[in-house]
Amino acid sequence: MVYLIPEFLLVLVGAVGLVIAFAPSRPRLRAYSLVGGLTCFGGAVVAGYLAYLATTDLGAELAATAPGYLTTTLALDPFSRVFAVLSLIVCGLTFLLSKEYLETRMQDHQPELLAVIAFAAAGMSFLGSARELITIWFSIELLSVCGYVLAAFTKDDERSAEAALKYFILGTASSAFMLFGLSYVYGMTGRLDLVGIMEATAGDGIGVLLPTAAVLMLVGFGFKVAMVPFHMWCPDVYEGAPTPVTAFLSVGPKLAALAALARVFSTAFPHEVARVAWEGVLFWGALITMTLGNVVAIKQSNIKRMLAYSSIAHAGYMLVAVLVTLRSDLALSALAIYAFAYVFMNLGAFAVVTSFSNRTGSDALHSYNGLARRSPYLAWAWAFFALTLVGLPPTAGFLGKAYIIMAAWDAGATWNSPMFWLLVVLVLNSAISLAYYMGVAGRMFFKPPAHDDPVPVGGGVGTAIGLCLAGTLLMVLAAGPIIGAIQNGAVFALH
Amino acid sequence: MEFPILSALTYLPLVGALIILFIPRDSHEAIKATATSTSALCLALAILAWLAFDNGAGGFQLEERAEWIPQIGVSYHMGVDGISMPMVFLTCLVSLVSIAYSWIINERVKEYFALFLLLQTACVGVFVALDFFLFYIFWEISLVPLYFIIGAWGGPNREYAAIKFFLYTLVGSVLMLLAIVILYFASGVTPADRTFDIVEMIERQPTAALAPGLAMAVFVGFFVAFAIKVPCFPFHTWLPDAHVEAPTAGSVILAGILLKLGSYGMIRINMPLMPEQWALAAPWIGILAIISIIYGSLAAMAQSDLKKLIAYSSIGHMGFVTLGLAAMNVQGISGAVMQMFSHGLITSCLFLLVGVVYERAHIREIDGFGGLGKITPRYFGVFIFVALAALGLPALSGFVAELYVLLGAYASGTMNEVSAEGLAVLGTPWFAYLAILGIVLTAAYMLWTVQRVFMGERNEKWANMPDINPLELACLAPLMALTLLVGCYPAPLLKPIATASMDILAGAMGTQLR
Amino acid sequence: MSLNDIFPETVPTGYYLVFAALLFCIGLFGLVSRRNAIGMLLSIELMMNAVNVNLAAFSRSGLEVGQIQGQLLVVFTVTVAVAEAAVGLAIIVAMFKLRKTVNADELNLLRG
Repeated sequence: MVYLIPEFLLVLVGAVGLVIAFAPSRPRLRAYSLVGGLTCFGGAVVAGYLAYLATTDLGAELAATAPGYLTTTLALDPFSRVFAVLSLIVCGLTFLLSKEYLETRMQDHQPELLAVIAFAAAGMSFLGSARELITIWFSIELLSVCGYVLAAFTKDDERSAEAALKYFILGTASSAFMLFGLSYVYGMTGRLDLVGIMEATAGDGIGVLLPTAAVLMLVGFGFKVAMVPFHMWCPDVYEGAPTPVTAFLSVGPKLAALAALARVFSTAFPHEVARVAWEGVLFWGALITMTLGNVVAIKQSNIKRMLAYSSIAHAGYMLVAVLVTLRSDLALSALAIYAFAYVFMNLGAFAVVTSFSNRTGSDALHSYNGLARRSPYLAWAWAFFALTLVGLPPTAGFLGKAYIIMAAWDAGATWNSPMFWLLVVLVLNSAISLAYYMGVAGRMFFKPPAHDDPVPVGGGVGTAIGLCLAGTLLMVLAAGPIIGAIQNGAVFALH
Repeated sequence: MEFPILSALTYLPLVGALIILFIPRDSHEAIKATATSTSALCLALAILAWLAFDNGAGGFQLEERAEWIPQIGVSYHMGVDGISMPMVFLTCLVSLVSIAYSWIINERVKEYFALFLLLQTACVGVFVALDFFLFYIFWEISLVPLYFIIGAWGGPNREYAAIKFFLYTLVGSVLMLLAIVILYFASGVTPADRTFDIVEMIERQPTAALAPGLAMAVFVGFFVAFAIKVPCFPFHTWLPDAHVEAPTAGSVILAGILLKLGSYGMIRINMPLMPEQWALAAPWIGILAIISIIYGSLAAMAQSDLKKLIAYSSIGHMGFVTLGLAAMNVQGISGAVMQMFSHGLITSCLFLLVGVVYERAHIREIDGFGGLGKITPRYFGVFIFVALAALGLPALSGFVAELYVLLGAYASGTMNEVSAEGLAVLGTPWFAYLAILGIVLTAAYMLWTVQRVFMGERNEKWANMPDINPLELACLAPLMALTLLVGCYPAPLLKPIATASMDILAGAMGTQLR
Repeated sequence: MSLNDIFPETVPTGYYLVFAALLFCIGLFGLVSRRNAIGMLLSIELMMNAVNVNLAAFSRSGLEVGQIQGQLLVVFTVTVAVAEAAVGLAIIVAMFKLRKTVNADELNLLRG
């Protein structure tokens, strides 16, 4: 049971938030966001220890004594705990970067927003360890329903409501697709646990329906990941939702769905017919997703929309790692390392956007002109995160990209093979992404500001930016131990 | 444990940059003094390092090695040989000169000097890194400060020039990343066996195990990345834009050092790691080099903007470097490295001189001047000296370098034999002959420029133009002195370079030449 | 003709599957063609119910005797669908308060 401490913590933080929502006075928000955030970071340390424990003999003994109902639904393997670390970090950072927004932009229901984020993070953590289809679907729904609520949170804002409605309609429809595929998988195998499905489909005689069912499930996951062509909701929702919520949505559901995608498809469908189908879909999905995300991002005029397309592109990179889970030992490490890097750099970029829009109320790109004179800290922070997102060293984004390329090459790419060209497209894409990330930096540094009012940075969001900076740099400078820990942890328990 | 002098040399500017971040924004003098003294300290360290370096011994010296990411065979490995040692020295010298010259900058001083120091760290890092991971990190960092320097302190069209520079070089380097990963997987069978260490890889020759098509793709991946940086025709179009828009000191660093990163990469990586592919491609590389030389010179002749003229002359001069490398013999490689060193000195002077006149006149049109020789006699004298050095006058460094390159190209087996079979038009030593034509063209446009700017009818508009001042002279003097020194007595420089060139060839051929 | 002939004791599983597939397609068609947000929500509910029919049918004709996971999942699905509908309707109400319309074609504030 100790394995579930991270999830307990997240649920606890959420529950406390709902309770203190009834407390009077204003300081409650400050106290809650601070204590909640600290709890999350503390929990991340605990989860990190659990991840380490899971790779040892002691961990194996502990896992063996865990009750059966737990081990059949949740995989207590290192990967799931590494993912719990990630969920807690995401939750903690979102707490920090939300505080100022809540104080300046929202009149009431402030603690509730944080509480719902904590619940969503719990769903994220569960999704990373679920190994049975009911649990997987339930975790996805926990994450999604929280997401709908979060997107609609500023309920007096038409844009927020519109974003939430779009998110809701497309989200539930994709859930229906996934469930429909799931029901066929169940019908053909009689099993709902991933290992059972794998065993049941091992022999011949599984009809053509299995690949169809797998692809239907992929549609559902593809929506959560924002894989093209299921990405249409993404820019609208990111633009309309409150900025801290956008920050959370751009990392939480996406990464959790990618982790689940890797686990479900590599565990349940490793056999020929279905595997060819999902690997084929993922290959083209990854290729088109990263290219479309980067190309369309260039033309955006709203920074949140631009980051939405950029997050689509990043999902494309990570799909490459998912694609090769069955072919390379490095794939899960690559996915986990990229996920960590992505959390730090994307939340960092959104922290800059939040901090800026708190003070100016604008998300338009042209309002960022000359920011370097108005707030050097924000401008340099953006420049740094932009370079990380492009994948330039010495930052975590580079390390993640290098690992994905290594994993993909390790998967047996040869001269002129499809994988070779996928990699060429991938690296060229990171060059394309430079145009829009540095385009914004260029506005900040090279264009004159409309006026000289300084843009002060709030304590919470400033801390969040600092933590993200430290995270992205440390992942490379102290790469030995950190990468070692992640790489040891990036293992699925198959039984 | 020995004092890690290369790490100190690499990170000292970074420390200086961090110190500058804590100096108040408005105390310009303090910032400038910090930057200059840091850079001067670096130069002193570089000289110390060269004194500790054994010129005749060959191999990598002053090595530092530590574990970094053992999971994938990445180590922190630095070291210098006879090629990188002069380049490190050149980097520190040119950086110091451009930082000293930048005392005239008065806008956003803090960022400016911090970025220059960061740039110095990146450039030194590229020259001393002996691990692909480390090499790539420094290689990419070198793009960032220059992007900001061009974009924030440049001319009217600076944003376009900055992003063009960044995009061009980034496209090259992402392809290089892919090539590095392919080499990594070819370097060993099991994960524990694989390595990113450049020296280790040269011993193992991983390309031999690759399919011919893939090996060629890897070669092209590296070559394009480096050729964009050099820049070698047809990858050169970013250079004139970047130079024209960059502030003077930015141009100095760009032409003096950053272009050398490209040719250094070819020497350090392409040639020893992929010798077969290099030999195969040598005639084509030679042709590109010849086109660069002649096209660069002709284009320079056609320019009306003084700075653009020098930018194109850089393309021509760097063509000699590529030509020497394509020759793939000791004379060729030594000449190429000599040319890198000498071009670093001369072109830095030229850009400084353009900066001097632009500071005063705020135009760079060649035809806008005339008769400056009488108005500013000292400036005229310095310019003549540097122009003669650029056109390869004997007793100045350019002559020695170009002579060696021509000797190499004349005697080259790889280029001439293959081209004799494959390209009947270009008979045996035609590469050398065409390169000599390039030298003639260089002389032509250099002298013509001197004539148009300094001779002829006196332009009364500039009658009160002040002559070159002590700061500018102090920046130019060490570069000019070295040009003269190397031209008259090249042996101390040639010795480590020739030794290292033999090492490179030995590594490439798998034989011992010395 | 006995009653058993008209209503056989076991309807073949295939019938259920065809029915569920049709139901799913009807729901999908409704989702695509409807412009009213509530209509779209109802269409999605149809799709969910198609899944439930599938699951129940598979659970009954399962490969193993006493296989109840399918029925279990039906209960979960229904519950979650209700929760989703509650959130969805709340969003639609908020939308209506602000814009006086729930027509999907008029949701055009967010455009690139």
